[in-house]
Amino acid sequence: MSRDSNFILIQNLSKKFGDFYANKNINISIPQGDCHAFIGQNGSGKSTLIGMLSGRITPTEGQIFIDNEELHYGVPHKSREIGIATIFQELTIIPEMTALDNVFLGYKKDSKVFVNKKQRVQRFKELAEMLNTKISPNTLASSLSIAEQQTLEIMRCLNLNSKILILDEPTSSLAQYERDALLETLLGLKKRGITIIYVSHHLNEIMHICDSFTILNSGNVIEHTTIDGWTKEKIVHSMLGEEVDSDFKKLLDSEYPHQQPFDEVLFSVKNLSSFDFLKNISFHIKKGEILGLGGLVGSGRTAIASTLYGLGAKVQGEMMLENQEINVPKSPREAIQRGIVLAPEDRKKIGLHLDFEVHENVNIIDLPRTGKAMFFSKKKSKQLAREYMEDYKLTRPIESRVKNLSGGNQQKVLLSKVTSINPKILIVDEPTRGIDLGVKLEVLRKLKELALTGVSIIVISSELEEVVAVSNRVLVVSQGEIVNELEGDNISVNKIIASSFLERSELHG
Amino acid sequence: MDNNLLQQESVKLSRLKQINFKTLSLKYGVVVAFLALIIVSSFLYTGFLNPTNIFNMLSQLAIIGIMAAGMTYVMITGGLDMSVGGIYAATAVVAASLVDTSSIFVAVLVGLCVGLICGLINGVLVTKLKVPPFVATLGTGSVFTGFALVYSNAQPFFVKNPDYKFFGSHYIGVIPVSVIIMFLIFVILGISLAYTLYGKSLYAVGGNKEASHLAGLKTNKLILSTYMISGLCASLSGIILSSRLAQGQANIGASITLDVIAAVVIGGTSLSGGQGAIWRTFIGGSILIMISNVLDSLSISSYWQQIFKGSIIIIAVMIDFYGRNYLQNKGGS
Repeated sequence: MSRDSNFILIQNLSKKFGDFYANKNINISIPQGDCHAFIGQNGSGKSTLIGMLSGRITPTEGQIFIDNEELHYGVPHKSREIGIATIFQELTIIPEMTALDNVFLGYKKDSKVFVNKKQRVQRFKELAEMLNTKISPNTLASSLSIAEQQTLEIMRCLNLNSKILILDEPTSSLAQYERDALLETLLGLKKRGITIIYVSHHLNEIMHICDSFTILNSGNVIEHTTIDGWTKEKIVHSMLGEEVDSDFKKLLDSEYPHQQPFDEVLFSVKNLSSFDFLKNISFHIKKGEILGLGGLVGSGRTAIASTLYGLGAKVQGEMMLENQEINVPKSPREAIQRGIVLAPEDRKKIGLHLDFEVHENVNIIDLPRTGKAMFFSKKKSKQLAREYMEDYKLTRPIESRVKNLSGGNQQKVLLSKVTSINPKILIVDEPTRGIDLGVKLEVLRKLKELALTGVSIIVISSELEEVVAVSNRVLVVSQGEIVNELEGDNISVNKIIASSFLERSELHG
Repeated sequence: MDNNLLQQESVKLSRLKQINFKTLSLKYGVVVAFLALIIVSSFLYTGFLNPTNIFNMLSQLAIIGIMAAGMTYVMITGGLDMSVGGIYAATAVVAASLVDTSSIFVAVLVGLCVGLICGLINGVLVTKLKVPPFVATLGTGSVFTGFALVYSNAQPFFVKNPDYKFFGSHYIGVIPVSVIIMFLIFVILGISLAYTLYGKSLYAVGGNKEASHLAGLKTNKLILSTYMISGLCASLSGIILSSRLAQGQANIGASITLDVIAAVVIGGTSLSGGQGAIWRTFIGGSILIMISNVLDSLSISSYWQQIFKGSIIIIAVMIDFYGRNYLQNKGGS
């Protein structure tokens, strides 16, 4: 078999969203039958690149050639026809249908009016054999495991004679043995000449199955090479590039030089587990301490926040608050009563009542305080809200409907709501998502000020610069476990990323 | 100084601009429709505004109005109670069967308990067992109706005690007792929904259940309470009807559920929860009753009236949907 080394050829490819380059001047080529990895942090441009290959996204400039044929950009079914199949994190299996029907979903070739089931079953068995799986064609997809459903999806792609298989974080929801099985399957496909593009945060997997890789950072190609001679450490180092100088940190350090944790340990958890995902979570937080949770999306940071706030499932573990053993809260209400509050990640969906006015939103966490006897006093509600919001400098009247506010103002409403009950522990999940730079700084300053008054704060943010800027200490979370702890001058974006990519043993071993 | 004044003026002006005519008409359109209907009806039917006709209409409204007030609570939280007809029938037969064998007091008390228990069952199904409200209450509605049929063996219970007619047919002064009961219910439920902390939290749950849960509200208990209120109101209507007819019959609830939902929806309470009011339901119910009153007076058959009623419900829901979209887009820009 002659190997075409320019089987996938990408030339000068760029994608702009507004003024922002998600991909800039990408030039890469991938040989036929290779397994090629895209590596990069969140927001490095991997998804955009996959999106353009799969026809979901139209490039701003540049070209993509598959087997010397130019792609029809922005047309998903054209990408599929040319032989590119993509398996996204969110599977497209229909649980109410059988395995057979799922594999032949959208398949038109043999069906004139009636489906030739016998032929389909035969083909299903061939495909199953190819992937070394024993799924019966008549099983309902809903009774299959996630890994098996993924296999069905791969079978669907093979059935369409796909030449290129793109997998986006395929192992993120699989157990270890299922991961191993999937990797074996992919190695098998590679032998059959199928080209694989593999996107994963797990460098172990990449080292195991890939022949070449591309490292992306801020939309640019940092490295494009074969994997020979590379180690995981070298890849991480290359991925990070220069340490990003974080202005926020300098600024906040100079403004709040005295913000340091108090001596007293306020809260600790021991061996916390939840959602069948978090394992052995143990940490403590001091009074007035800002504790950052670093890690990638889906690493378990939000799961930790949810569990502390009484939203966990299958929770086990111990908790100490102010030197007293307490149960893990079973509901947000219980958490609030203990002085633990959460400003959730998705402001609009679960954080705020969009149809309510600002003052109502602020007071909803403790409605009785707005009451005169049993009645809601609008006057009292506004007056209280004004007090609680004083430091937040809301730029709109307190009677505004929250849905008409900007993201920044909404975040201020959310924060004044959860801090209005004088919490002992404040958990903020992505507090600066989608708000502009000025307000971002205001929010970070507010966190520092709250810490000065003795509130212990847990900060989760995908913008690691911010975690670095505000935190006194950072716990790095990866795959449901705390893998590293950074303190003082040791806290840096690079160290957080490095430890979330490397496995625990490699850090301590 | 001048500058300051100018600023104030411009603020006033911008406020005026905010109160846009279209927004206002979408919000209070139902009031306009209500008033227009009164004017049109008084032309079509000369006796329309006679006190006797008005009280006649009000006492017709009493039965569906009380049920619709309870239904409004359920719908504010984003639920739906399809079982009110069943509860209404079950209460009517149970209460009627007890009047002569025990006492009116016991009959009424047991009747109301039937409503509370039925509401509790609905509430538990919806909150604890997570059955979707429509399916849960459609099912229980059939169960409650079935219970009424079994209990009465499909035969009416006749009430001999004439005092039982008090709730349905008597007057205090010139006003029917049932109308007084209805107004009491509307005032109590109206104030409680609009002005109390409890009411506020119902709106919160209907507007965003997840955010309410995260803010520490007992969302399940709040939702459960609305089904109990709806059950209680349906049983009150059942008592009034059995009192008016001096008999309890199991087959009375068949079509009333739709009328009750229609009253709430025509008033402008949102099917998706979070928005609405008790006064709206009063107006919605009145519109429904007035239309059938006028159509009756014009001797238009009840078959045609059904067609009218159905169409009006669809139009009301469409206005609700498109109006909300319009307001939302406006808010977003």
